[in-house]
Amino acid sequence: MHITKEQLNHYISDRMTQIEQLNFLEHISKCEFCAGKLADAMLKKELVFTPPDLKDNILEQTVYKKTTTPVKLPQEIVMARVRKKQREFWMYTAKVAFAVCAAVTMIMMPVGTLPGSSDGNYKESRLSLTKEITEEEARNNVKILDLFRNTSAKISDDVSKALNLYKK
Amino acid sequence: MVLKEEMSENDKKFAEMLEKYEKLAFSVCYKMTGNYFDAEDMTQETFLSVYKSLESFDGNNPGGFITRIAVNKCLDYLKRAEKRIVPVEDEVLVQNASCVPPPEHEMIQNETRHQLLVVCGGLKPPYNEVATQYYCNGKTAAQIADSSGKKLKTVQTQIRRAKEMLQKKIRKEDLV
Repeated sequence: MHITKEQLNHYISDRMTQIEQLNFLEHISKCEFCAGKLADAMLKKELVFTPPDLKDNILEQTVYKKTTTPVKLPQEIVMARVRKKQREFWMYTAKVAFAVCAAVTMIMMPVGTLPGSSDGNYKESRLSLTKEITEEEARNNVKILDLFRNTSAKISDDVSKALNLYKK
Repeated sequence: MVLKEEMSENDKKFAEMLEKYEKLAFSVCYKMTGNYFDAEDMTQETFLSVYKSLESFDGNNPGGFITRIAVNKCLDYLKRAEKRIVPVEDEVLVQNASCVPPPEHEMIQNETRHQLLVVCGGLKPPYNEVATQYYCNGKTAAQIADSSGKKLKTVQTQIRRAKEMLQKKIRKEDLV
C-alpha cells in the first residue's frame, strides 16, 4: 500500500513518531512511486544549501574519473624503463644465486670452522668427531669464515636494496 | 577537465540530473541523518550509485529514482550507526510532536548556518578559518586558495580534515 498525503505531510513537518518514520522510510526505499511523491513534496519547500564543492567532487568521482586518460609517455622512455627493470631483475637474480652458492660452500666446510668454533670447548668437542687439523689451519679457516660472513652480510644488504628498487 | 561536448550521452544525462537534484538529495539526506557533514557523504554515495545504475534507469520519475536511492543509503547508514531511528516510547513522541510547531524553512536554513558557524569556529587554526569560509560563507576550495595564497591541494586537504574533525565532534555532541 502506498503512502498517504497525510503521512507525507506528517513526515515533512516532523510530526511522526520514530517508528512511524522508520516504516515510512522503509516503504520509500522500496517504492519509486512514493519516493517520487516525497521528492515533489521536498522540492516544494526550500531545500538546504549544499557544500560548495559537492557537485564538482561527485563529477570528479564519476564523469571526469572515467574519461580522463593517463598521459602517454614516448616510446623511448617506456623502453628505457623496461630495460632498467630487466637489468635490476638480472642483478637481483645474480646476487641471489651468489648468496646461495656462498651458503652451500659454508655448509660444506670442515666442522672446525663453523660459526662459534673459535670457542675453545666447542672446538674441542667438535674436533674429537672429525679429523685433527693444525692450529694454523683452523686460524685460516676462521679468517675465511669471517670473510664469508662479511660478504654474505653485504650481499644481504644489496639484495634488500635491489628488492626495494624492484618493488618501486 | 572534460568538456561537455566530450561527454557521453549517459554522462551528460548524469550531469544534468546532478545539477537539478543535488539539493533535493542533500535535503533528503540531511533530514534523515540530521547531520550536515554526514548528509554530504550520503549525497556523494547516492550520486555514485545513481551513476552506476544509470543504464538501467528508464528516465521516468528521476526525482523518485534519486530519492529512493538516497533514502536507501541513509537507512543503511543509520542502521550501521545505530543512531536517530531508535524505537522509543511512542506516546511521548506523539505528545512532543504535536505540541512543537514545525519550524519555518527559512528558520531551518538560518539555524543550520548558525550551528555550522558555531561548530566550525570551535576548530583549531587553520581549520576553523577554512571550514568557516567553506561551509558557512559558501566559498569553494579554489576561491579560498586564491584569497589566502595557499595551494589548492593544501586547502582541499584542510577542508577534508576539518570535515572529519567536525563529524567526530557533532557525532559526540549531536548538535547539527
